[in-house]
Amino acid sequence: MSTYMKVIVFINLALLIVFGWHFATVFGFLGTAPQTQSEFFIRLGVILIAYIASAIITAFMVLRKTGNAPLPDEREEIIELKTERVGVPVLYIGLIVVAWYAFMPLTAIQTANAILAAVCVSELSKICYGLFILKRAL
Amino acid sequence: MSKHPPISNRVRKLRETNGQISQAALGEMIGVTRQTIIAIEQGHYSPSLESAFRIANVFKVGIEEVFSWDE
Repeated sequence: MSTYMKVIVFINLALLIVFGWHFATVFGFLGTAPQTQSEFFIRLGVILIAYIASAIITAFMVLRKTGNAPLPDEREEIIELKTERVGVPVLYIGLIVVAWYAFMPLTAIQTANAILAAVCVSELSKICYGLFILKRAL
Repeated sequence: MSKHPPISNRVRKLRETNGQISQAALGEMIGVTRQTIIAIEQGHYSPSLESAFRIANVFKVGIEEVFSWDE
């Protein structure tokens, strides 16, 4: 796997770990989940900061090791496009499901978590499909 | 996923007959990664026309001597 693909996989895995922690609290496996709007926005801020921090740390480590920023070559750009072709429909389906359940008696926090889950599943499907086509060379 | 087109190539052979150029070195010369050169050699990936010409230029041969359509 090239440096660029390793960076992409690492950043996405970091994002999934942070989301995993969030949903672990939501389902009561770990700590307490946000209950109010302000707590939820603080949690979103933590997720965003963790994501940005992981991206900055990864970029810094790669720069220190290789001396230049990793850029995708033509094959990696095609792989990224192909993963988008999977990730975008998954996200649409997830949002349609959330829209359907919006008419059920759900709390605002539950609806917000369902939207986050759709984003998370979409990213996960992109990573899985990306690794699958990398394994098959393309 | 679409089936690979019937394109074969002599990249590996040309590398070996031109001073054992490594996959990484060839990749650097044409601006792709070593993994992409491996995928090209194994026939899993058909390079862009630009990269195909760059590969041919590295070996100082015509593009038809590197890539061929087998049908």
